[in-house]
Amino acid sequence: MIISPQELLTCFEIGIIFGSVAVGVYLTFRTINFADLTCDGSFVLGAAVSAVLIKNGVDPYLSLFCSVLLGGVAGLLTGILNVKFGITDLLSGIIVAFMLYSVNLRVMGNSPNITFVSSENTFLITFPLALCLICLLSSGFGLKLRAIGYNKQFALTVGTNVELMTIIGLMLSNAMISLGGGLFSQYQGFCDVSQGVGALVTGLASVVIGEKVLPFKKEPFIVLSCIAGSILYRVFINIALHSDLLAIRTQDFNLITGVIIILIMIKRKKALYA
Amino acid sequence: MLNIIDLSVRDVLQGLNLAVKPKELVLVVGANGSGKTTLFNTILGAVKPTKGKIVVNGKDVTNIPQYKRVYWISSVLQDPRSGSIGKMTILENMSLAYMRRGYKRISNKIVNYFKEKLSILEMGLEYRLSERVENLSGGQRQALSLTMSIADDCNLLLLDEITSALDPKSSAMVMKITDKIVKYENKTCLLITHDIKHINSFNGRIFEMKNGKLVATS
Repeated sequence: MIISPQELLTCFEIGIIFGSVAVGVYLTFRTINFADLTCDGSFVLGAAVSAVLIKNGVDPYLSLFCSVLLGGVAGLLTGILNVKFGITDLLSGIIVAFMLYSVNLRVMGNSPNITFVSSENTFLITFPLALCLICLLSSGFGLKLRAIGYNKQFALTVGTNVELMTIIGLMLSNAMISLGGGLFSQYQGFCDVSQGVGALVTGLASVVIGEKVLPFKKEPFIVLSCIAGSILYRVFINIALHSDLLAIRTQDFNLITGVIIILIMIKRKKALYA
Repeated sequence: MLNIIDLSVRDVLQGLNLAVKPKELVLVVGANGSGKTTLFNTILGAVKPTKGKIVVNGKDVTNIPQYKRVYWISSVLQDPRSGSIGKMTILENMSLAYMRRGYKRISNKIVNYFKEKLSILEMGLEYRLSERVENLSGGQRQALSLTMSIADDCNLLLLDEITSALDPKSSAMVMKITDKIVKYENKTCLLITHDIKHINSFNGRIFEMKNGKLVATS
């Protein structure tokens, strides 16, 4: 058997957790067309906040709420740097992610990692939040949010406050990514200051896979594609890492991720020219 | 309806004055580089004037940001692709245009209203509401942009070289639709163009941009 039922279950669980990261990445890279690199920092911020609060006896769901709020603040900061101070989207995200490393260490009490015990299965919270997001994107507000990603000039001519919408999009995105961090730390019972490295690439891979396997015509439903893509991504990685034939080991994880993204992107481009 | 008083933008527009009455159709012509598009962008709010005032319906809009100014002014741009979103459906584009005055919910009644507006075009777009705009031709997209500009109650319509990116046939069709819209929808319209052939078939006041000023030609 390529993958055992237990491994498949784990793929589902971690896939759902990283589904919220994928949704966050989708909101910036696709919906508002903003190359936001805050992700790697806001993911750890969510994980750190959740870990510290649970360790201090706070309810896991309340800790997730705090993670979401602070993730939103990280997005707000990136947005202000870009919109109000004219720093490019890439650079504003990099600066905030860079600063968040110190903030995260502070949150974790200057310790690079924290272990704790959490018995709640909080990861399923991704689904109701995804449904809320679908409703939001289907509304008039969502229509305006999507409009700025496609055509900022047009968005202005239909009365959209592009600056405000960009900031709101970044806040929503980083709140979802931070939620993913919180859920992941609760799932593992562990938080490390460097666990955010690669979160963005994982999210992007999930978005690309999701759009390929579940190409919903109605755009708001692509939120569900992102979660499905995240689960599939975990399954692919699991299969690849357990394939004796290819002699792939755990240290090849990033290589495999990159290859999967490249293969899907190549197929995408071919489909565009077909 | 529209009063432009002593409007200057650096050295492009120099103390420009213009008064457009309600339901009037005004044509502004001029060579490339004469400042027509700067005038358009300044009225729209994309360019900040160095001096002067822009008054619409008695309201001084000079310092109001562009996204808020659309409450009084609707516009159609040169490029058909920039006047609508190709990846969205006709209904979504119409909804966006309708929501510019703050309306939130698109009910069935409003969808029927959109159909009624689209039927003016006589292109059958009212039956293709769920189709993506990218499937439409350049002429159809520009005609859709025109309909979107009258989707709400906004009375002042600014049109900037709306036929310059179209072939002669589509161009004639779009001009015919513009005439129809101004006539039947009671809109005040400022049309900016460098295309001299519009002058012959035009019933309204014509101005020419010269050295950053407007000169009446008829």
